[in-house]
Amino acid sequence: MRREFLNAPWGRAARRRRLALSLLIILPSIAASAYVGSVLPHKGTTLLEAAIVAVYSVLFAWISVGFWTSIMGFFTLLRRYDRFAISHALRQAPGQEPLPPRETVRRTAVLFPVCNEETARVMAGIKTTYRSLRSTGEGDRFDIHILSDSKDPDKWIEEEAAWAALVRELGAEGRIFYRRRKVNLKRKSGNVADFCRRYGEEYTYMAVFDADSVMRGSTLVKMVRIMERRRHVGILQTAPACFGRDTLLGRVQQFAGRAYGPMFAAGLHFWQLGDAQYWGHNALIRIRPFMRYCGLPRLPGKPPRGGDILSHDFVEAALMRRAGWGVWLAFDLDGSWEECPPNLLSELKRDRRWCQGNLQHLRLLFTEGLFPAHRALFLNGAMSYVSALLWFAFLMLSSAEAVLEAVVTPNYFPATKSLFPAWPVWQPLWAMILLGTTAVILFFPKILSTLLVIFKFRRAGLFGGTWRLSLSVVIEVLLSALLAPVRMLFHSKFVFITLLGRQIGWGSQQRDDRSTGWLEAMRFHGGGALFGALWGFVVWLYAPEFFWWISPIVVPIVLSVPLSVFTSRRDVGLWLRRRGLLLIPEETAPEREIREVAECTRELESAPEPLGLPHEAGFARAVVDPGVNALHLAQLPASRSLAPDIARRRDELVAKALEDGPKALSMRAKLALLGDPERLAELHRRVWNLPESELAKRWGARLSD
Amino acid sequence: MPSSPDRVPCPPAAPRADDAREAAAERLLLYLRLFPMPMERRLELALDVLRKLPERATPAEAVALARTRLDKPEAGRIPSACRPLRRGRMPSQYLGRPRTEAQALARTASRRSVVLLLTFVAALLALPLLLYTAAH
Repeated sequence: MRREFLNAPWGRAARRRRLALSLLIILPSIAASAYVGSVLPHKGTTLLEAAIVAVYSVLFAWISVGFWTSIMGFFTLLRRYDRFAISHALRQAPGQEPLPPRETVRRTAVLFPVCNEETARVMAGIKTTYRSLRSTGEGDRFDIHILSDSKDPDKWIEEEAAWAALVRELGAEGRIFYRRRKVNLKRKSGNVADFCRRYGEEYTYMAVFDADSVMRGSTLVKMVRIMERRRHVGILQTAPACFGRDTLLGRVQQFAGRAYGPMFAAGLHFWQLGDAQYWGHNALIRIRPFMRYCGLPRLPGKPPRGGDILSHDFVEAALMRRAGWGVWLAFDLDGSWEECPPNLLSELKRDRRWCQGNLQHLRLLFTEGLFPAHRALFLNGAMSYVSALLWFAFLMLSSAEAVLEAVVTPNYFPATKSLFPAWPVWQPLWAMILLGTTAVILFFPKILSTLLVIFKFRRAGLFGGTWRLSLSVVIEVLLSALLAPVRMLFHSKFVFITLLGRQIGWGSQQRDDRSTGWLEAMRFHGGGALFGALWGFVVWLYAPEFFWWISPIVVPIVLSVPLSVFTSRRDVGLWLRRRGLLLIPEETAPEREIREVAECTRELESAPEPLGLPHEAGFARAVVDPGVNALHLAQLPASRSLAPDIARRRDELVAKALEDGPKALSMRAKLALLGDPERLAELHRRVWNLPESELAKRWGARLSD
Repeated sequence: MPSSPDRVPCPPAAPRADDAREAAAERLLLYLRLFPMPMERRLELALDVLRKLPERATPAEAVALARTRLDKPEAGRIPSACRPLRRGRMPSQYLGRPRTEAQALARTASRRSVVLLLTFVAALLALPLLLYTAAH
C-alpha cells in the first residue's frame, strides 16, 4: 500500500492512550464477569450460566468503551487543553509557519447531497450558509453545489425552481449550482464521487453537508485554514450539534447531544487523534487524496452483505488513513449543526439503514493495509447494533435461567465427587451491586458532563438555569431508560434480519415534526409489544420474583405503542420548552444562522405559488408555468433523435397528459417527458391552448384569481 | 306602432371584439409575466403581439403567437446550473484481503491490531470456561 505520509507525530501518544484504554476496558470486564459468575445460583458452572457470563462480559466491555471515552473527555474539557487538538493550527506558535495569507487560500466546494428532501428546509440551509460565508469576506472562495439524487419528478422540478429562485434572490449566479443525477449509482457516496469526477479538479477542498446541515461561515473558513496549515490532514470532521426539533423525542435528543455531546467528542478525540472517523457530513475533505484513494468499489455478493457500501463514511476515512493522510475530529470547533430525527419511528428507520451499513463493515475488518484504529472503529460501529442483540440474548438467557430454576428440581448431588451437596444460591444483594455498577457506568458520564456545564463553563443559563438543567437531565435519563428496551428490541431485529441476508430499504429521512399516529405506531410496534407481554407473562407465571428484575425492560416494550406516540408529540415538547426544560443554547440564545434557517424555511414555505400551482406539484409547474418550463428546458441537453418506437410512445404520453392531466401519468412517464425537451415544449404549448376551465380542471392551474 | 326600447326582446349577447381582445391581452400578459424576461421587453412584446393579432383572436392564439417569438429566454435570465466540466479520475480502491486464504491467515495473524482484538475477545469468552473448569 502506498502511504503519502509515513510519520505521524502524534502516533506515539495515540499508542499510549489506546493501550491505556484497552487495559481500562479489559481488566474491569474480567473482574465484572467473574463477579457476575458469582452472583448466579450455580456460580457460572452450568452451560446456561456460562453463556450468561460470556455475553455479560462483552456487554460490560462495550459500555466501558463509552464510559472511559467520556471520562477522558471530561478531563480534556476540565483542563481546556489537549496537546494534539487540531484547532491549535489556528494559532501561531513559535517556529511554526505563519497562516497563509487570505488571498492564497484555495477554492472550496460546499456540497449539499439531497435525495427527495424537504426542499424549503434544504434551500433555507443553503441560503443561511451562503449568507454566513459572504459575511466573512471570503465567500468568493466558496461555491455551493446542490447534488440531487431525487427520483421523484415533482421533487426534481421543485428543487430546480427553488434553486433558480434562490440564485436570483441572492445574486449568486455562478456561485450556487444545481445538478441532478439520472442514475443514483452508489447513493450518497456515488453522488459525491460523481461530483469529484466532474468538478473535483476545480477545487482543493470540499465541505460535505447533509440535507439538514448548517454551518457558520467563519467555521468553514477556520477549517480551510487548518487544512492549509496542516498539509497531512485529509479529512477534518466537526462535531455537529442538534437543533430545530420540537417533538418530545427530538428535544430530548438535541438536549442530550448539546449537554453531553461535547464531552464525548473530546473523549473520542483523546483516543483517536489522527485516526478519527468521518461521519459523512459537516466535514471538510481534501479533494485530491480523496479522489485518489477513497473511491469505493462494490463488494462482491448480493446485498445486504455485498453490493454498494452503505455506511461509506467510515470506509472513506479508513482509506484516507490507509494512504497516510490524517483524519481529525475538530471537537472544539463550534458553529456546526444538524437536525436529529423527530420521532422514534424515523429514528429506528434510520438505524435500520445504519445497522446494515455497519454490519457490512465486518467484511472489511481484515482489508489489506488498514490502520488498526480503523479496524477497531469498524468493530465498534458493528457493536453499536450487535450489542443490542447481545443484551437481548443476555435477558433471554437470564429469563430462561430463572424459569429453569423454578421448574427443574436442583441436582444437589452432581456426578463429581464432593463431600457437600451443591446448593444453588441466588444472591440478590450481589445482583443489586452489579446492577448499580452498570448503572454508574451508564449514567455517571451524564452527571460529569452536567457538572462541567454548570461549574466549569458556567453555561447552565443557556440550558434554562442550574435547576432546570438538572431536571432536564433527570427527564432525559428517564426517557432514555424507557426507550432503551424498545430500541434494543428493534436493533436486535435489524441485526437478525441483516444476518439472514434480507435487504433493507434506503428512503429519505423524515425531517419535519410530524407526530406518529396510533395506527402507524401499532403497525410498527404491535409485534414487539405482544412479544414483550408474552415474555413478561411467562416469567411472571414461573418466576414471579425475577419478573420484578426484568420489569424495567418488559414494561416499556409492552407500552411501546403509547410511548412512541407520546414521544413524537410536538405539543408535549413545546410544553416542556415553555417551562424551560430540555432547553439548548440554540433556543435560549440562538446564533444568527439558527435564526435565519427557521425564518428562511418559513419564508420559502409561504412563497407565492404562480397560477395557484403548489410548490410540490413540480411536473405540473414544468408543463404549465412558463418560467419553470423555460428554466427546465434551459437545463436539459439539446434534444436528440429518438427511435421511432420511443418517439411514438412519448407522443402518446403527451396526448394522455393533455387529455387527463398529470394524475394520469406514472412517475416514469413524467420523468420521460421531463427529460425530453421537444415534447415538454410541445406539451407546454398545447396546454396553453386549452380553455381556462379545462386548464384548471386538468392541471389545477388558475389563470385568474 | 312605435315601440319603446324597453319592450324589445334582447338578443343573446354576442362577444364584442373589444372583450375578446381584452381577454387575449390578459392571458398574454399573464403568460409573459411568468416568463423570465425584463419588464420593458415583456411589455413591448405584448404590445407587438396584440397588434398582430386578428380582430377576434382567442387568448390561446395570443399565447401561441407570443410563443413563436420566445424560443429561448434571454441571456442572464436563467442561471447556469453547473460549472464547465473538468473531468478527473477517481479509481475504486482494493478492499479485499490478501489473495489466498493461507496468505490471509499469515498476514492477518501478524497484525498486531488483529492479535489484540482477538486476544481481547478470546479473554472475555474464555473466562466463563475457566470458571466452569475451576468449579469442577
